[in-house]
Amino acid sequence: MIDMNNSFHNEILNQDLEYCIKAFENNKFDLMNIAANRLMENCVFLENEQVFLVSVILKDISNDYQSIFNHKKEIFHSAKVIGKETIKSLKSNFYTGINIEKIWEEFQKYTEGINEFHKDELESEVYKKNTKFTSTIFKKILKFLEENKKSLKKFNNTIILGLIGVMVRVMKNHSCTLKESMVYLFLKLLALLQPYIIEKSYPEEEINIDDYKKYLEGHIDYIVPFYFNDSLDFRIYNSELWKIGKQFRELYFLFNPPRIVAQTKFIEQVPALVRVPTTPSKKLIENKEKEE
Amino acid sequence: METIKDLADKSWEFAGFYHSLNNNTSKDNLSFGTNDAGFINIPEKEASTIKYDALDIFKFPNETNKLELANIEKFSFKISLEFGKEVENLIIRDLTFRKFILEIEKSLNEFSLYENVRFESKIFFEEDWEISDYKKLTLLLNFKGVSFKQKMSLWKSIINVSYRRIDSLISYSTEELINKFQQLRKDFFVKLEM
Repeated sequence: MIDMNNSFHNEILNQDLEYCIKAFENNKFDLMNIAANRLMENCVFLENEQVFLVSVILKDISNDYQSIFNHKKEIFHSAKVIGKETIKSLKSNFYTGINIEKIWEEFQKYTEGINEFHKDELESEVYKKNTKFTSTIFKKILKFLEENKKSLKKFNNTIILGLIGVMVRVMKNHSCTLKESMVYLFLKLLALLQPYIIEKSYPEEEINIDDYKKYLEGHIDYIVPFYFNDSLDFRIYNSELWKIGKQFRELYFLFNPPRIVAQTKFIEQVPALVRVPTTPSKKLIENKEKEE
Repeated sequence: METIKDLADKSWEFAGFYHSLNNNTSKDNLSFGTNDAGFINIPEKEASTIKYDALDIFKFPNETNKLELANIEKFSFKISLEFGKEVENLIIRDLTFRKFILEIEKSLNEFSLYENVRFESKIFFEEDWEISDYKKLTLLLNFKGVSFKQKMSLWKSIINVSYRRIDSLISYSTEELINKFQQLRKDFFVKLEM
């Protein structure tokens, strides 16, 4: 593992971080997302698991602000205060030597803060903090994931995106604890990897068993017990997260863009306002059927 | 995707009856289910984290993508709003204060929908020169390229919109919050940069 004392590596990662921060300051959240990807990719090359976590968090922040920027302009300036504070803290942590616990503490504060801005006016009035409920739901859905993990072999399964949808809703309305934020971030990264695993398996009709075990089952088998277990090991979590990132970038080099998304129209991939596609593959099948 | 023209059209619609609207978009946000096109309708905040990831996956944009991104870029703010350090700290830590500030920001945006003028604004705490331990919550406005008479008229409009929103916030709040909001209302002043 490469340590943070390597000044050559630090300089590169610093530059990526600076670019990311400048994109945030200038409200260029699409660029911020790209900058976070660069940081992520360089952390994969430089085998830096700690900074990799920072890159995943920055990516999440960029997604949040892109959404608020596009859809909730009327509260954007107030919302930005939350991200500004978190980024300031991440930056300071970065320069003074990475403290993983502090990073998580900041991310949790950020998550609780930004979720308030994601609520609409009625939700703000109605929903109160109830992390016990959030925990109950997370246990249910993770158990569901464990029981249905084999369905991940099928190209058209939607389980990860579906569960992320539930997680985000529950975390937003009822708040959450650090463990739930960690599970969310983990599955979100896994969701990015998924289309590339599917692409790797073409022209088979489902993901082959070796790839399923290597790219999917292993990660599910880590994150489900992680949530149910009382202990919390940041180092192992980081390693697992980094592994997903490494696989994501490797398959990205090999198979970008995955045909299941390349053959769908942009509007189907990123619907303008309030929709996400169930699965790109489903649209692909529909399109093929139309062509025939 | 809404275009600038769509937004402009909406702003004119707003101008006619904005007093009757309270900027509530909850109808769209509450739907959840699958439509005929095979899409999952999910509230936009819930969609957002996933939706933008997709942009990342497809981040070698084709021409259509560029066009879509360009449209996003076109949206620019008519208002510029800054906060003093103390105000920022309270936005982060105090939920009641945050709600109050949100109403002020919404007021400025509502105002900018029907007044075609660019301005800068800042919200900060200001010590009162007469009472040393009293701090006013001040909204400072700086309009660009307009006459003094126009500035006064715009200032009055912003006062009307913001106090109307604050009063609405108070009237819909729980008893526990009403006192806090009323105190903040008392401490709140709108000033004009000359």
